[in-house]
Amino acid sequence: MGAYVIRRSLQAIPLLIGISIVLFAMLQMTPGGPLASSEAAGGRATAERTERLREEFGLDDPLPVQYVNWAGGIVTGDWGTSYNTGRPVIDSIVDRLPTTLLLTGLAFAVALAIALPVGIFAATRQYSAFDYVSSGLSFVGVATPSFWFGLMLLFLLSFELGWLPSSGLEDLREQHVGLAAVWDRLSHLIMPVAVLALIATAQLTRYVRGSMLEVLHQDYVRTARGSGLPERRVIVRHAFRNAAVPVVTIAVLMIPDLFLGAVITESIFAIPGMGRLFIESAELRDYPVLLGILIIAALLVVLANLLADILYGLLDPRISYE
Amino acid sequence: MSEPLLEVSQLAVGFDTDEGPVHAVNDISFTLREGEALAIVGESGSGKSVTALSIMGLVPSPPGRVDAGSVRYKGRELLGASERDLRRIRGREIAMIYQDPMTSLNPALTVGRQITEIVRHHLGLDRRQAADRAAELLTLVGIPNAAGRLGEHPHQFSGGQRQRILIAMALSCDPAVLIADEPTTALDVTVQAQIIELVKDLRERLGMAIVWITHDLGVVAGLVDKVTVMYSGYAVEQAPLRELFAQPSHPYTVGLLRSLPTFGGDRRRLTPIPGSPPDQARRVESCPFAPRCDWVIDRCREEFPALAGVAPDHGVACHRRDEVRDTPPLAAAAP
Amino acid sequence: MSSHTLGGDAASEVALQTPARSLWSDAWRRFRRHRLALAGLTVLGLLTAAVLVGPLVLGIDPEQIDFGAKDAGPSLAHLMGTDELGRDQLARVLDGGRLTLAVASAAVLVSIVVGVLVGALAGYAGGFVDNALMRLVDVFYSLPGLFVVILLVTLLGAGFSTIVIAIAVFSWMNTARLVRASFLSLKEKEYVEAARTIGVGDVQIALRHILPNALTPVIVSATLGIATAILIESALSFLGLGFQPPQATWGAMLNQSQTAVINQGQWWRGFFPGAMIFLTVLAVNYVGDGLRDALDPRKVER
Repeated sequence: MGAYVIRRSLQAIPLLIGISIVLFAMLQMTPGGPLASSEAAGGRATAERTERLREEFGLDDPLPVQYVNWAGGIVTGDWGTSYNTGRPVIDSIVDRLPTTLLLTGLAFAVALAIALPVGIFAATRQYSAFDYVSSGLSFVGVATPSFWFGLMLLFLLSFELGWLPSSGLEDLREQHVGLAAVWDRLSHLIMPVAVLALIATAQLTRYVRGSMLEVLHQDYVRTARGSGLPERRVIVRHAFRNAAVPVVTIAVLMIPDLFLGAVITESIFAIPGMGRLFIESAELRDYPVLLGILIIAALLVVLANLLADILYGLLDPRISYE
Repeated sequence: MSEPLLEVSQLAVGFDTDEGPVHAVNDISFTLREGEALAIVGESGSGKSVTALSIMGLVPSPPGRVDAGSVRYKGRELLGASERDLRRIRGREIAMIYQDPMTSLNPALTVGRQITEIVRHHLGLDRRQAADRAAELLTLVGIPNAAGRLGEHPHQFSGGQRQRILIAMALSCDPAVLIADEPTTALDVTVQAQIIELVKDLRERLGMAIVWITHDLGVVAGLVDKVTVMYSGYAVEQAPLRELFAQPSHPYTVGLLRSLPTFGGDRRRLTPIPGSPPDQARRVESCPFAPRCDWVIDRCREEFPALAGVAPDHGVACHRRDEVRDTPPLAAAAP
Repeated sequence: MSSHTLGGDAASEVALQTPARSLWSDAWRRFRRHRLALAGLTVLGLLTAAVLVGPLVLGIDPEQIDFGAKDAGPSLAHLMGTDELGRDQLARVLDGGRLTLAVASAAVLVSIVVGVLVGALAGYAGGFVDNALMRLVDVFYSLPGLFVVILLVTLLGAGFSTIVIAIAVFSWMNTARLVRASFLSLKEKEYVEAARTIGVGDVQIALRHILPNALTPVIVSATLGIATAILIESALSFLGLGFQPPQATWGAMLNQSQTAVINQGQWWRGFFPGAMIFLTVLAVNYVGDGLRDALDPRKVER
């Protein structure tokens, strides 16, 4: 098992390298190259200053050299300096990363917490009213644009009813204490998490239900029932145990999507996370920061795939590790 | 013990399909006494598996429904009983072995777990006792190094071994009735023989009653006491084993016997029964076997033949039962 | 059940001569049975018509400014209300729909073309080419999609073609995989062998015999791809990175309505454009589902 993990991890490395090359290349595609916008903006960026910047950031070196320098830096922990703020890229990222991770994590937890029971219940009561309603809702949920949902929620709960705050992560006007502080943080998170979790929940519910339905018709479930075992044991220990295998894989692969989807949520609710940083940096052509964020996102994707593989191997005893 | 252990009376089971209701089982009756062994023989689609599943209450209920009849175990009605009551009987008093050993075991759980959870649930054994019992059962069914293999998963066993494991699971609580639904169909011929030998042996040792379902009449010789032959959901002939082989009285039974290969006997051509089973979506006011029957007369197409005695303990559903009975079974087809 | 008594050779000859015609009519019949899918198709039809000729038929100019009627909610005069310049929102929504649907269709088209080419090449050629192309697919799958789309659009400017290409760039992989899988499995089928022994050339085999069958999963994927494309483009425009005024898609309208909705409670500004996205995506999903069932080769009609 350990050997399997190591082997798969090693396989991920060339993938990461490939991704980094593609990303690096993409950034070079701007007409005029990096710093083009600051040049075009004129004003402060005189030709001389641009020349100095170019030297400082090594932008005159041939591309492969630039790539190797940059990649080497990434590996050793030097992620470069922001063109915009002059601060190390790592700092900017560390500032914003926890927020996005919090949103992503909460949304994932919510999605699981809803999808699992609803999906299982709908599958065990196939053709019932609950089944039809929940299936219908999931189908509709998948088609709902998250930003529309968020906007409408904001209108309803913030503007009309005034129940929840409309932006940010906490009240900037006063410092709350104790229970009020807890509610303060919570109330700022409810809508963003709900918006982010909407599509994931709908999708996951469909998968859980589908997987359970398939498993419930398997012979071994009939064997378990035929042995007189209590229905709950049959559903959880026999049916769900097997249905969970593909579901877990899919669920884990949803995490990077959630991370990316946070861009929209952070935008609507003015939350200072990685997504917002990415958009800001893109507009400012702040390449080092952009690359840094992209690498984190790619890393997350690769890690999620790795995790999904490992979990699948763990859960399905038929997989053998050579 | 003259009280029958299991009594099935006029059982009728149907399925609701997209194309309309299908009558899988029509009017089946048989009894089983303690220690008795009964074979239900028929081709695919004859309703034999559905009959077995109905006894256990395992017919999936949205498409399937019990249309009529009763199933009594030790006098208690099973059809329509609550799930809770049924669960007390399943695995404990009546246990079943299924057709396909490759799919009937949970691939995610160890073999030991699948056995111990049954005995722990029904018999209240603790973990240690259950594990011992599991090892004991696996040895009983002929799995070598049983104790060591409790921690393995089904995919690590061969098809024949998996069937043995299923048998072990079925026997784990010493049931009074064992229902075996074509347990050898999915296995190689040599393994088939082994499984049959195993069941015979276990029956001698443990004395449970058996319902053995098969499409192969050749398998049941030496295994059971009496036979019910099913066709298109109906019981067409019921008799003690010897009587059936010696004096088959239904054209279908005759056909089944004729299509059996015999070793060492006179070499003759295997004669399959021509045609295929009827579409069971429509109840028919004639003999369901008429289209394929060598003995068919006009009456067969107009009047449904009821099951009636042709000898003591020997019921046949055929208008020409006496003639068929008097014809030597291996002779050429007589009009 | 009747039995077919075609001999083996006759059967493959029939297969060669009627590649897909009976498949389509059979599929259409099955599709018609899905009420929801039919409803979806109708909705899509109506929507496309509305978007193409709506403003003309209605006789309302989406650009017409009317300060007298500004910031008004839905009414008989303006079914979807007006904005801060008094422009009729219904006309603007229909207008914006045209661009939205155009972008989505174009993006799907591009991604299908690329996907089919890559997939066919990989599936048919096999070996090293196949491996290399599949590695490329893996890399693209691992790219953080939305971020890359944002990046491309920001760096290359928000024009029609950029947005179309950006969306296509990260949705072609699915098609490639499907096509490759079809090619791999169909390459070995008997009728292809038969064609080859008769002397039919490779490209012809690929085109006439394999492609029609490989296309069925692609059709489903393409349909559902339209929904995804609409959502991505809308998200992009919502973030302010997509189409800039005066060009407007539904997503852009949503973006421009944010302050109006949140700060001034003019819910209609955000509700209607978003509802259009929602309805379109929903209808497309229903149609896609219906198509998937209808084109499933495993379901044979009795």
